[in-house]
Amino acid sequence: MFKDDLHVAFDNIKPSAELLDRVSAMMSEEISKPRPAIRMNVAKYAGIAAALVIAAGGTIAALRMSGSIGVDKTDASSAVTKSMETHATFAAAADGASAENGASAENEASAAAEDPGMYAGEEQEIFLDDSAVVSEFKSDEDGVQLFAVQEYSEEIAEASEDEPDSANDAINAVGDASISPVAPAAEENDAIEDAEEADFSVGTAKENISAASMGNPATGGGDTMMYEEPFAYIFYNIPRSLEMSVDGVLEYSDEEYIMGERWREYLRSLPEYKESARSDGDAEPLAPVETGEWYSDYADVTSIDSYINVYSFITYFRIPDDTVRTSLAGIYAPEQLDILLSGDKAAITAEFASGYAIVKGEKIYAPLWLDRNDTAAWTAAGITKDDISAKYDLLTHIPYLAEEIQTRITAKLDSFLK
Amino acid sequence: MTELSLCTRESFDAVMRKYSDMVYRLAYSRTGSTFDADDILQEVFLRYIRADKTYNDEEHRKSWLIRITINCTRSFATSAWNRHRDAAEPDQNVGAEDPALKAAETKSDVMNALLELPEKYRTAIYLFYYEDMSVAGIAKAVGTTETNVKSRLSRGRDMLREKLKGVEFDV
Repeated sequence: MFKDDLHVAFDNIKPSAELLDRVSAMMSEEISKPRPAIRMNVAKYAGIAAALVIAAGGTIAALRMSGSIGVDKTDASSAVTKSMETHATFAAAADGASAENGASAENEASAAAEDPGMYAGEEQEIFLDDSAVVSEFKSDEDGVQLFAVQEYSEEIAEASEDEPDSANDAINAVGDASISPVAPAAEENDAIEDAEEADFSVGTAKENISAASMGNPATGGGDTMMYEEPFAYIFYNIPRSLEMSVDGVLEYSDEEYIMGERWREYLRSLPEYKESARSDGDAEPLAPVETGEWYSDYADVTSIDSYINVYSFITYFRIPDDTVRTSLAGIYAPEQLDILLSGDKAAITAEFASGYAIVKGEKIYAPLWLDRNDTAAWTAAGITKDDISAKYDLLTHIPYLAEEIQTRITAKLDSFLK
Repeated sequence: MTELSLCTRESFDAVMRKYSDMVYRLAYSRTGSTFDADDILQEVFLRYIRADKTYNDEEHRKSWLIRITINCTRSFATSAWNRHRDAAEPDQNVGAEDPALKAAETKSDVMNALLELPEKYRTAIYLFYYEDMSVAGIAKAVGTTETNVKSRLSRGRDMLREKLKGVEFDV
């Protein structure tokens, strides 16, 4: 039997006693360290950085006018822009939801939903768990909001010593680059006080794109890099599967990684990408178990073309069908790709929406939407008791959801079913 | 194990004793390299310590560790160091210093077939058939739905049947 053969294969694969002793010793040191304040621990954490850049519509137009990317319909493009702004606002606000700050972060997210302008002109540090800090800054350019999660990585410092031969080599050489936010020069960023000195500069997204800022050994990895929308945003978001994104639940699944790599390869091949100094955006989305951020995503999403996902991405950029099939082979079955490329949004939604979403034709109602809207709105949306009953077990046991939120959703579900 | 929060060396050692094999094998199943698995094991438990979480129960802890291991294998794969390696180059060090391991691997077409599967199928197959996890448990650990897990198991089995003629699955 396969199971028996698998055990034969894997039973001998185990960590050595020496490795375990070493890990135990390391952890003993770590345990004995005083617990740092959340905001102080940025520099200590190895690994990843993510940046979200939302550019003004003008930037998108500029890219289009360059002729180097497909000009899509205004509906899709405006939806993409709007969705990115919405997402970034929520992501910045709600990502900071630690156990202690959960209520505060949610209030911020709610406030942002009602009035995104509340962040205009303000610097706000939103703390994730002890791994990173999200800082939001408003640049001089109207409509440009910049978010950065900065972490220090020894890999960055090592990689930055490489001599890049080309723009892409430079991008790769930086590795998991830290991205510093654009900030008023005079302001001190407490969140990175233990990190190597970062290069902050004031200005717009375009002005701050600089190849020279990449791989700067002097900063020890705290390089300043700005992303030119939409590629950076795509890099951050596109690893998420369509399936995950339609229900608002952050499934950090295998296909995200594979898909992300393939899309990044494709985007790197585009001329407009090579012309700009960009990180390869290989930041790892933070797992929901670590940050609880999933809940913040896509609060108002109700259709697959209203936010960034694989479908809207391939539509917006007019990715050729064969490129889509090649990139997503092994991630989705051929018949699924047929549906994805069919243009039939109801069929696409039905196929890819996960179990946590209530799908009504082309409309998607994620757990987050259910939570944010009252039951009268549910009824107005055409959601029936049968719809809720069919999903009840799933919706009352959402993985990694904060208990208070789950309690609230469950109460609403019960009320609706009465 | 009744202590569900990590606060002492003793409790950490107990956790590590209980889950190190699982973390290591999962890392290996995803990377194909014992050397990478070594590094990932350390990173997983470092994150575990630093998270300093309280868990509802052991299943919660196990799910968390699985999720972190999966995340670590990804960030490891995209690290600057790893990018400089030839992606197509087989891990020449696998089993080089471990005769038992090398012997097990050279005999195991099953392992090779598993490592050739796409990641999502490979992880589902490994957790289901080796770690004896339920579909629900796998879904929770990897952050997807049970439907997806079943689909991945089904497709993973299909792919394995193509690679391993005559293989039988008891489920």
